[in-house]
Order: sequence, then structure tokens, then C-alpha cells
Amino acid sequence: MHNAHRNKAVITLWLGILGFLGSNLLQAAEDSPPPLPVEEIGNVVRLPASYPEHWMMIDEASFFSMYGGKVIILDVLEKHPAKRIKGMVHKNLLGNFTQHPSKPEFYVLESFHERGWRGKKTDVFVVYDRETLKIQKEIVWPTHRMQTLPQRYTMAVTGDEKFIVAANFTPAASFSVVSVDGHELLSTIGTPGCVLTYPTGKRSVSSLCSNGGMLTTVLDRKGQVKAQHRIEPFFDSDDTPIFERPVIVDQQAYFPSFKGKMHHFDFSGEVAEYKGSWSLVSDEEAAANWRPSGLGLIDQDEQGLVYVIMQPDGAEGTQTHGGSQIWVFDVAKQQRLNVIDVPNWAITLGVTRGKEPKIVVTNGELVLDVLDAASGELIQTIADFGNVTPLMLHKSY
Amino acid sequence: MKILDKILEKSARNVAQHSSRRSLLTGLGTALVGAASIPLLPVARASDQQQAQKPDESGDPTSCDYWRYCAIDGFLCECCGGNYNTCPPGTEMSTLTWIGTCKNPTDGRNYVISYNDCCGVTQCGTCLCQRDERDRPIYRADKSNDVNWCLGSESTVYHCSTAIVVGLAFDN
Repeated sequence: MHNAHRNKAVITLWLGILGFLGSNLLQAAEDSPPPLPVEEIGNVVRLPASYPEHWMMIDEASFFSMYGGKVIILDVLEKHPAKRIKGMVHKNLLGNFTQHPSKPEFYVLESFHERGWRGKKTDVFVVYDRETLKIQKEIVWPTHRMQTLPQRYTMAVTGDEKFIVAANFTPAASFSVVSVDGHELLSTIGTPGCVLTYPTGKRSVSSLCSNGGMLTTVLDRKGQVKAQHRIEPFFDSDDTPIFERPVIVDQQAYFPSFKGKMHHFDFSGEVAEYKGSWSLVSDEEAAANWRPSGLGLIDQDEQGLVYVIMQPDGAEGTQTHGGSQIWVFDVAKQQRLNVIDVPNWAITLGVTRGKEPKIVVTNGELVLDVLDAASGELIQTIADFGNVTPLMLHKSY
Repeated sequence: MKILDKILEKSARNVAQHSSRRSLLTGLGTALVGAASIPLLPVARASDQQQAQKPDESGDPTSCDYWRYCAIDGFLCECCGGNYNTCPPGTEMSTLTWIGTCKNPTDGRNYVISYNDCCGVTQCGTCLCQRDERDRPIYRADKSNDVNWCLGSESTVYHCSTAIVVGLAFDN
């Protein structure tokens, strides 16, 4: 009997507590904002058709795991680390990359084996939509594409913007032509002894040759070879080598040599025309072995100024190692305007578009330093953006 | 960076004499290939030489400083289960390659070195070595280590690089 009384009292107490809590919960619910709405599933971000000037296309070669190569679209001025990446696309086995300057699309030429690293190899030309990053079309490539460390001119869009040209290397050299309208493979044209695809004139392609000369291939309106012209050697590929990585400013191409001579080509006509050379370095600087050096060692801004990575104490074998300074040139006047000390070495540089350009540098630790091009001041260092070996930097369009 | 640091630690001995630490990092700047096929190499075959004495060489093939690596750019097969002239198991030696000319410090002779890549297995990822002496851009494919020279192999996947003596240089 005594226990029955006690149990009844406990039950009564609990009912009281629950009632109290329940009334408070109801009161809380009345005071709270409404619950979250049910969200739509399946949303995917869409990028602008024309990317902002301060976005860069980072060619991540993924040298230690080449199946993981990619292009990272990066806002280099974004301060919040988590918001810098805008998107990325795959670029397998040292794939090649170029962009259309006015149409909202870009191109990757990459390779796959049937079963990862083994089985039949297929090279594929891929057209990406710039807004959705979706594949618009794939073309199975007719031969072995050129597979190298990243370059700016393994692929290019012709001057009339109607054709994409892409270098092949079997090791016989050639390039293939794809139409921009319809994305059809049109032709493959041999370029014996000459490699890469520098856009020339409206519909020509120039290639650099082992004998120190140049070959210009003229295309007709259907993307077929119309004529080929060989330009006399202008350097010795053994003794006075040049970088195959020019900067092209208003169809004027500038190829730095290993020791600092700048070779000028006029690419505005149907056939490339050699215009001579001038020196990037003074006699004193040459004596101190100041030399151009790096991978993506040269780029330009939209005002036409040219930026070159320079290395002190350069020597045979150091030509791709990068440098401690960036020299800024007015190439039309053949005049150096500025010298920028980079904070942590420079292997590759790229310059953003616009009237207030920024220099983006892949530094000695393989992360990015963003510098103001006018003052040379460090704006920020960008790491941890899915990078391992960001070896080439492209403007975005 | 951590990955690179580890690689650098493993290949540490080498770099100092030939390049700064930064330059090794930058040394990624090129990797792979060359151009002429072996039968076309402009060399005098060592096997044709009368060899009264045993040939001599010295050095540490696990070190980037090793004399044969003067024009190399890639992962050393010596660290990947193979050695300086033999590919690791499971790989295939490339039939296309690039060449360099390196001086053997022991006998003072210049030798033509064929940097055959080993192919068909994912990147070895250690003992990265970049020397690049007399390396040329891809317009001189026969002297260029920028190309993936596994292009003629059953699998084009690059694993590591060897350094094989294929003859005395012409100047000898």
C-alpha cells in the first residue's frame, strides 16, 4: 500500500513536468521562424558566358598522377579561400588546352587507355561549354596528339576564329584542323621537322623547325592545306636555342632565346615574316648571366606590355628552372619598363586581362602568388586549390 | 609541397651541386621525351671498341648528380625498382627516346646517353631529377625531354627514366 502511494505520486510528478515542457515547446514553436522549405534537388551552378577579368585558367598537369590532370577555373582576387574555385574540367595524361577568344567554349585534347593505364589508347578532342562546363562534342582524334608538359601553342584558334588547330607528334609532326562551326574534323597536315601551332594571319599556322627556321601552312576556307612556305633559319637549334614559347601581341610574335635575345616575327600576314632580333639584357646583365627562364616564362597584358621571368647566374641546363625577377617590356619600343622581385621564385607566369592587370606566378613551392602588375606588390598567395603542379596559367575569356 | 618535400628528401644528395632547391622544384618544368629512334643515333658504338681494360665509371645512380643524368628530367628508375639502364618490373622500355651527351668523370670521355622511359605503370613519383644540360625544346625532338616518349609504347603512361650508354660521342 505504501508503494502504491509512492508510485502514484511519481506518476503525477512526471505528468506535471511533461505538461510544463509541452506547453513551453508549443510556446517556443509559436515564437520560432517557419521551418526551412523543402529544397529542389539537382541544381548545378552555371558560369557566366564571359568570365571576369580576374579569373584564370590553371593548367594543373598533375605530374605525379597524370590521370588527374585538370583545368581549374580560379578567381585569383577572391579573398575567401573557399570561394576561389569556380569550376574545373578534366584533362587526362598531360592533355592540351586552348580557348576560343569570343565564342563561349574551350577545348581539351586528351588521351585515355581502355582500362585506365592499359588497353587501346584513344586521343579525344573535347569541346566544353564555358557556361555549363558540359561537353558539347567529342571527336576521336585521327593520330597521336602532341603530349608534352603544358604549352600555350600545342593548340590554337586561327586568326579568323573559324578553325581550331592542334599539334600532333608520332614523332612525325603534323597538325589537325577542326571547324569552330559544327566542330568537324577537317584535315591533318604534315609539317615535317616543324612543331606547334602559332596562329598567323587570318587562316595560317606557323610551326617552329628543327633547322632553326619556321614553316607557315596556309589553310583554305575549307580547312585544307592551300600552301606551305618555309622561312630561312634565324637561330641555331644547337648553339643559340630559343624558347618555343613566344608571346604574341597584336599578331607580333616574340620568341626569347635562352640567353636573352628576343626574336621578332610578324604574324599578321598570310606568311610569317622574320623582323630581326634585339636584346633583353644589357652587356652587364649578359655578363652576369641574366637569362629568361621558366616554363610559362612569358605573357602579355591587354595594354601590350610583356612580362618575362628572368634568372640570374643562368647556365646551360637552367633554362626551365625559373627565376627571381619579372622584367616588364614595351616590346614595340624594345625598352624595359620595370623590374619586379618576386617573393618566392617564379616558374610560370600568367597575366590577367583588363586595364589593371595582375601577374599570377607559379612559385617555387608550386602555389600561386598574385602580384599587382603596376606596383609589383604581393596581393595574396593562393594554395590548397586542388593543385599539385600548376605548370601553366592562362587568361580567361 | 609536402609531396615534393618527400621527393626531395629521397633524392636529396644530388641537387645541391647542380641546381638550387628551387630549381629542382621548377625542374618539374620538363619531363619526358626525346626524339630520334635508337638506330639513328649519331654515335660510335662502344661495343666496336677494343677494350684492353675494363671500362670504369663511378658515382651513385640514386643521386641526381650521377654523371649519366646530365640531360635527364623525370623520375629515376634506380629508385623505382629498376636501375639506371633497366626498367622496373611490369613496365615496358620505350622504343623512342631522347639523347644527351654526358662526360664520364672517371675516364674523361663524353658518351651519348639514351634516356629511355619506362612505360605502362603509373608515375613512380620519387627521385625526381631535372638536369636539362643541352636539353632543347621540342623543335629538336632528338634532344628534348619535354615530350612523353612513351608515345610509341603499348601504354603511353610514363613511369620513370633510364640513362643508357649507347656509344662514345663523336668528339671522342
